[in-house]
Amino acid sequence: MNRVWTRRRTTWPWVLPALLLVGPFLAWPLGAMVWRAVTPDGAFALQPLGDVLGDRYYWERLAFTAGQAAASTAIALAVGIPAAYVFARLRFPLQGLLLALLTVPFVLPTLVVAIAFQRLAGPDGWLNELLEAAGLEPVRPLGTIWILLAAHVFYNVAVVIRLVSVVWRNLDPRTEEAARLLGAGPWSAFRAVTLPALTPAILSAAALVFTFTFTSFGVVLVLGAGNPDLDTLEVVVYRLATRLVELPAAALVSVIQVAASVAALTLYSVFQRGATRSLGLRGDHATRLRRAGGGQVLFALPVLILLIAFIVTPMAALVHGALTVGATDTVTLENFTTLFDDTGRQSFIPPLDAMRWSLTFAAGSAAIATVVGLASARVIAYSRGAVGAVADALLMLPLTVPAVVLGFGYLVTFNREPYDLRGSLWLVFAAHALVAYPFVLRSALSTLRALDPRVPEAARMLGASAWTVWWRVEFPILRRPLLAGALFAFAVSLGEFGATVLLQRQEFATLPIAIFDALGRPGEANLGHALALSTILMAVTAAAFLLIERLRYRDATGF
Amino acid sequence: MASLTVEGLYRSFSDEALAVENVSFEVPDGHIAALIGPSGAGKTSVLRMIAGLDEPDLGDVRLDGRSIRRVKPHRRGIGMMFQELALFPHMNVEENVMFGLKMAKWPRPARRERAEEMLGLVGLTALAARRVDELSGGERQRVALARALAPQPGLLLLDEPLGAIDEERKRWLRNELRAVLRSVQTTALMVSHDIRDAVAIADDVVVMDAGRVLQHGPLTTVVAYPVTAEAAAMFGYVTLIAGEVRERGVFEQGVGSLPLPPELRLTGRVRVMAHPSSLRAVPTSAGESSGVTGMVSGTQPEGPTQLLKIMVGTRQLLARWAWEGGAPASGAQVAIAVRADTLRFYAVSTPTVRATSA
Repeated sequence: MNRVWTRRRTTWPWVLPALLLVGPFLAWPLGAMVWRAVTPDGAFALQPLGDVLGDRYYWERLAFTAGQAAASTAIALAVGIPAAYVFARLRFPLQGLLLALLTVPFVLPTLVVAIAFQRLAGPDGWLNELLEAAGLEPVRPLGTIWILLAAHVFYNVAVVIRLVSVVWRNLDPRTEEAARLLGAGPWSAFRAVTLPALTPAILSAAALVFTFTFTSFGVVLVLGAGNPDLDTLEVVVYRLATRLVELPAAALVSVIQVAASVAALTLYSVFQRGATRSLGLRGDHATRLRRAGGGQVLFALPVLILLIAFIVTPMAALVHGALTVGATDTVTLENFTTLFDDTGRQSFIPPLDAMRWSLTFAAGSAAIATVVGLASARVIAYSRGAVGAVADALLMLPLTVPAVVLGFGYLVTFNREPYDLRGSLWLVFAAHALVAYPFVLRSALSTLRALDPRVPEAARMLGASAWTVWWRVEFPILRRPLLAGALFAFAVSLGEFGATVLLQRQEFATLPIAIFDALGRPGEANLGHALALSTILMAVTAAAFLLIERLRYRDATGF
Repeated sequence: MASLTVEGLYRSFSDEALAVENVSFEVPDGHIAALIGPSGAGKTSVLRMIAGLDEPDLGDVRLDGRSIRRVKPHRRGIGMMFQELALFPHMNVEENVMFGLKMAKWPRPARRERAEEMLGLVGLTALAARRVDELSGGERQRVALARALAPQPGLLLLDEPLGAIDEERKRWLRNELRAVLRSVQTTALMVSHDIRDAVAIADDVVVMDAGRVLQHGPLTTVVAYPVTAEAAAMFGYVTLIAGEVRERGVFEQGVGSLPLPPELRLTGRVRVMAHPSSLRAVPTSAGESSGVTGMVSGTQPEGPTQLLKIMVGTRQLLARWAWEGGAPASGAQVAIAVRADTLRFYAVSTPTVRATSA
């Protein structure tokens, strides 16, 4: 491949947007936090560090956080791998739609998921009604590990299905068939041939799920129901950060958090490389999906039905809760209409204001994320050798920083003149854009990498200036993936809770904050509002996600 | 239309591009030239420097005598057809063809008219509204050609224009490409690793190897008188003798000898090559033997006679059996007959040498 004339000169200015965002709003706060941890009173001291490390409490929390993450990951794999098989190897009606539906939870705001499970498993929830109908004792899963695990699996099973099924689909089924003909039973053929090929994909999914659940916050805060034995490190940071006296401890725990998720995500990308390498096993014509045979239907049908029930029921419980008042089963729009009348206007955080602010932050940070993500994708795609790989790793760093830690980092950094941004809504924009732009980056990068570098050159040879090449050729080709990325960023910002809860002010509280606030207040009206707002948030993010799926689907057939 | 002059192009070896050393040649106005050589010879590098997509370390590129070294690629007025075609995936066939016209600020009706004309020329009128990813390989090829030709470039560069096409359709597309290029009367420079492309399409040939130009000139001259053994091999010449000069002849142990023309003052190791089209296999007893003999290692029917696979020393070559009676069986000794004026002599030690007595 020859050096491309146009590239040498246009790459570097594109680094700027990422530098302007990542420098002041990620690198600096994280650095300041580490500094804070070792200089509690302005002077270097290892004493507080020792105090934290010597405190059994933090070790217990670390053990619990890792343990629940491991358990969540194991269950998500156990549920997700059979489903991945069904989606990879069989062909059935509405397949694409079902896969999209199963992926919806992944984009739902944590708070919405938490509330959905709270409705489902609460004292008057559907779960207990079902048990009662069956003549069994009612259960109280709220405030126990079980409800956390259920919510975590709900969230992450799609990660497993997607990452594993894409590799599985590309494995040549004839290798397994060959093993069968050589005398292996179905299980040993799977273990000897298919499983080793899937292992990188499974491990990479596991690393990703582990990271997500290790840094779980909103789910734990709501479903833990105040039980301190269920606090994850992320919740510990939050509690310490809101009691500003224990900043060194919070800073230290934050550092541990970041280190753990950097490690897990590094594993993810290592495994992911292995997983994409195994795509090379693809056979030419043999990977076409087969229509399900009798035995496969017997396997696939229960898997699909149980999975869909597991995914749909909590969402349905949430909608049902939003459409009823009190313990009645009468369907009413009261919870929605009161959002906008005097009841709403007089609440601590008026719902209409929260919606307006949510949309403002989402639109603004999606715009910033799109610029930064696109520019960074170009830098990675157009720089050669190690530069590209290093840039790729560095620019994905925001994904490894848990939201609460990020918010906390801002609190301890931007609190002094001339950078006193306490209570500034710009910090919210920055935090949201920072957690969202990697999604734009990934989306744009895959298209840029698939684009033949000679296409822009061809435009140049036909008389287009560098700017015209960008505007007439590159940008139109990137339009779809950019739109998909921007929508994802929009959805991420709408649901962002961990950082926002530390940075928000009542004047510019967002929907998740309003929901969290209403949940904590007594009375039917407040609960009704929390449910109605959650339903709206769920509908908007799910719609955004389905739109993204559509964009991506067409894309795949495009080029 | 324009004449192209390439003068002393150098480009140093980098991590990605191959080195090019002192490459100079000319393509006269309206000629079609083929730049041929094995892959890695630096052909595409030269093409990209002419296009302005890569910058030479030294040297100059001139169109009609004017240097375009400092002109940006999009202002050079050069059309290019890329190896992987590089069609715009987000535009349909017609939009692809009109892109260059739009850049040149042609008014809209003129654009349409020209695009229609170009699509007619390559036989794609019916597919104007098609998405480019719905086309077959050959159709895509033709869109790329129409797109490159539409803005009436003074010079058209073609990088392996038939690279991605299977053998069967290649023959047909070669003729078609030739017809189109002739009809638009453009100056063209085509890169190819396949000599058959050059033979079918080009007026002139530039032979490159390892970053240098071995030879350039009219196709018929270059093919008839390759200046180096490498160039000769590229055109399909085979080695009859690779041996020592002794007493006005070139001698190889176990193969035989061929007389050295008196005007060639060669000494030391010499390779004698000939094109298979001028070789005939005859009995060793016949007076026509040139002095080279070999052993038959296989036969295949060729019309009324046989094509013989003959081991000459350690080399194998093909020659038609041109004698009365049946062809000899495997293992038999045969002689090679060849007209003395079709033999080409190359010194093995030095790379540059006079080719023939012509």
